[in-house]
Amino acid sequence: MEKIKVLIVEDTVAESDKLIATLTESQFDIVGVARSHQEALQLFYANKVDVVVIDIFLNGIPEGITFAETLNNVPQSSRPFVFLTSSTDRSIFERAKLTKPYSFLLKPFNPLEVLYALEMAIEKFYEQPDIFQSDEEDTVISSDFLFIKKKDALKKVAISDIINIEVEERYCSIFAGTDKFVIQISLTKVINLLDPTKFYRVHRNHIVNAHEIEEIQPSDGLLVMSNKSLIPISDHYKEVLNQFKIIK
Amino acid sequence: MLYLNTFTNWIKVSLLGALFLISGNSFARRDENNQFIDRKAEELAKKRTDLGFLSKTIVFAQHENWDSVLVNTQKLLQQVRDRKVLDFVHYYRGEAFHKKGIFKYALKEFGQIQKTFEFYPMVRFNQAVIFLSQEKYDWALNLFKSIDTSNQKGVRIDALFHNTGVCYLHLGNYAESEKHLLIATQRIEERKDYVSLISSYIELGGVYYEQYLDEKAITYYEKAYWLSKKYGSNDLKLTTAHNMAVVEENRKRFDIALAYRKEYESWRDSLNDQNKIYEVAQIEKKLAVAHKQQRVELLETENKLKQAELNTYLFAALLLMVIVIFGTYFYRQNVLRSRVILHQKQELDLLNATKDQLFSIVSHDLRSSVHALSVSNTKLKDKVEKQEYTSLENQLEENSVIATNTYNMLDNLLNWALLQTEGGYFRQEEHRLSMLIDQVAFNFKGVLNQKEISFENTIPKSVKVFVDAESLKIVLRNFMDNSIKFSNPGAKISVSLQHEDDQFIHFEWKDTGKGMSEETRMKLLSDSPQLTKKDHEKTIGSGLGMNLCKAMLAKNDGKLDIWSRQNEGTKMIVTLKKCVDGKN
Repeated sequence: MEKIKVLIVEDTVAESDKLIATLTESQFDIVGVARSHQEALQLFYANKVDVVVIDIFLNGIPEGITFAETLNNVPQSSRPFVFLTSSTDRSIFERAKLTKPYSFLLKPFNPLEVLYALEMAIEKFYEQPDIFQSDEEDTVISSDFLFIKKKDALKKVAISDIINIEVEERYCSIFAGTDKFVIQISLTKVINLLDPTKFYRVHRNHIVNAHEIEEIQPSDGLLVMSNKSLIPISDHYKEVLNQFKIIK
Repeated sequence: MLYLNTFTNWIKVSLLGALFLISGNSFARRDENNQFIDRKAEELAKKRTDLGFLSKTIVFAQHENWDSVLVNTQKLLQQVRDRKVLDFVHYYRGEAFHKKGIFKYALKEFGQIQKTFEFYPMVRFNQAVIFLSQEKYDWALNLFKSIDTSNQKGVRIDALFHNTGVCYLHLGNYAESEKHLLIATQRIEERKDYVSLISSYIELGGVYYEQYLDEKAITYYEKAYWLSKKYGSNDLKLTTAHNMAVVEENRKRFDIALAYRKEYESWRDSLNDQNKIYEVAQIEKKLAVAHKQQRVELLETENKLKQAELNTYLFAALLLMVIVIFGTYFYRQNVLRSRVILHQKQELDLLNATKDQLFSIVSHDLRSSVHALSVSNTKLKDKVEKQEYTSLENQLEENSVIATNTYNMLDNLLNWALLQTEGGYFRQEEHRLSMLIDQVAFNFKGVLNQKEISFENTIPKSVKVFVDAESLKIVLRNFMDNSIKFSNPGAKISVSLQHEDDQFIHFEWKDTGKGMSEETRMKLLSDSPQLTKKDHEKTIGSGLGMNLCKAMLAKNDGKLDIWSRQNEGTKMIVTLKKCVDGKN
């Protein structure tokens, strides 16, 4: 599990310091603080950022909105972001709204609010709303990461690291590298959101990363994964094996 | 003498004019001369059924309506071919023309009558009378002479003799004239026709006068005069009086002459008067007719005017109606508008009053808060200088409380302003109520700990409401603020779900603080934007917070109710919408 990387775009040092403190407390990883639009762009492209916190007013002008617009206009590099503002002035909000803001964070903020805003931004960006606050689920799946909420902290797991997933009722055990963690998510959702060319369902309760299969033992109906774990293949899902060129 | 002679001659001439006139009229009177003809004609008309016009003609002739006679005879001329009947027709036509004084046509008509006509003497007589009237005395005399007097039907002998006498008189044959006139007079005397007699006397007088037999003449003139006094018409009286005056003058009896002349003049005047009266009457008649015509025209014009007026009235009425309708419409519109304006004005007044109050309270509170902060800071400074570090913490805590309260008030003020101007950002979304409460409560952790107030949120995580998060947070912050403000250490604040139905979530914010009076409660809940006065003078607050809460909840389609008992605590009961379409 990794920390979520946050880029802060905030010109006021006091505000950014407070934000850094709050975010660090909430176990976020701050990749940098940009004081201007230019700096924000530089930092954004230089780091792998998961979410951006943008102050609408940079040096007295609503440059934050411009930056948000830039983010939106580049599909590949598009990331969720949170607008930070001290004003609920409608005209500013109306303009900010045009940039499809994923969340607003109103100053003054407390850690709960910051976390809530970031969670909202991620949920909305990946169009899987109302996950982190619910009791039923705790994971949002993007193309590269699983965003998982663990004990009031948001973490992420790179999808490419996942070896296999074991489903037990409402829970899924994720095996990534040597780690194992349990997330709350429905199996159908997992299957729908994971790349079907990489992840195969081999059993009612098992999903495997095709790249991590080390050995197939058709006689036993078992898969040997890269971490040496054995995954059973049920008859129902056997045809997926046809996709592999089996050397006999 | 010569002079006198000429003078007399002149008088005679003038006399003759008068004489002639009388003879023409008096002996042409109809009923006496023509009854035979009329009778004969009537018989003829009765025999012949196609002669209706003839009997009409006779009746008109008897009444001397000559124009009608002419019209009827004209029709007869076209109908009748019988010579005998035509003779009658021509006779009547001739008579009609004669009486109307159109002698030329009269003679023509008479000339068309056959000599075999039963009443041919009458024809001749009439012709002769016409010639007499035209002063063709020779012709008249010849005709008179040729009349066969043996035929008793028609021509009156006395009239014949009279007229013959007149002819002779004008031709200067006085002897024959006298002879004929005497015979005529004698006949007339026999018939006791006094009117005709006067004429005869005058003619006789004239005959004698011409022969300078004045004595004889005067006798007749006097006879005529006295007769005319009794029987004569005004004309005759005039003539006789005039004659008397002339002859008396000739006799040099001027006083008598003068009397006669005066009489004559009086008659003439009366005649003139009559004429004048008649003329005047005519004029009056004309005037009356003109007046009537004028009246008629006036009435017509009046009618036209009335019609026009009526049209005008109608038009005016229509116009008025249209105006009234439009007027009413616009008046109603205006009334409505003014009502709206009045309503708005009242609202505005109220809002203005509220704003004024708000500012006065806020400025007072703000000033006292900031002043308290400043005083506290001074104390802090003093203590730092005096190095009394033990009580520093308390002082700092006090400072921060004042600062927080002031900040909260400012925040409320700002939010209130945004709400009033609708300038705030507002977007309702689905949120977890419990989460929002936790977020708000997080900021109060320190204060709660300090005041030893416990806080508990038992709302399930699954409860979702459809609200604008920021506005709900403002409400919750105010709740928290109030609860802390009015609670003593050891008090408890708890938020719990009351119940939920298909559309709404009902939850309560309960504290065990001071509570409030029923009066305050009602004031807080009243719809008026009037701000409530503070119950607790010591505690800072303007009532703005509660108003803001109500307004914010209302904007979120929610409701606020308050339960409170003094010294027991307060419950804020909030109703919120679940989500847009009522689904969970």
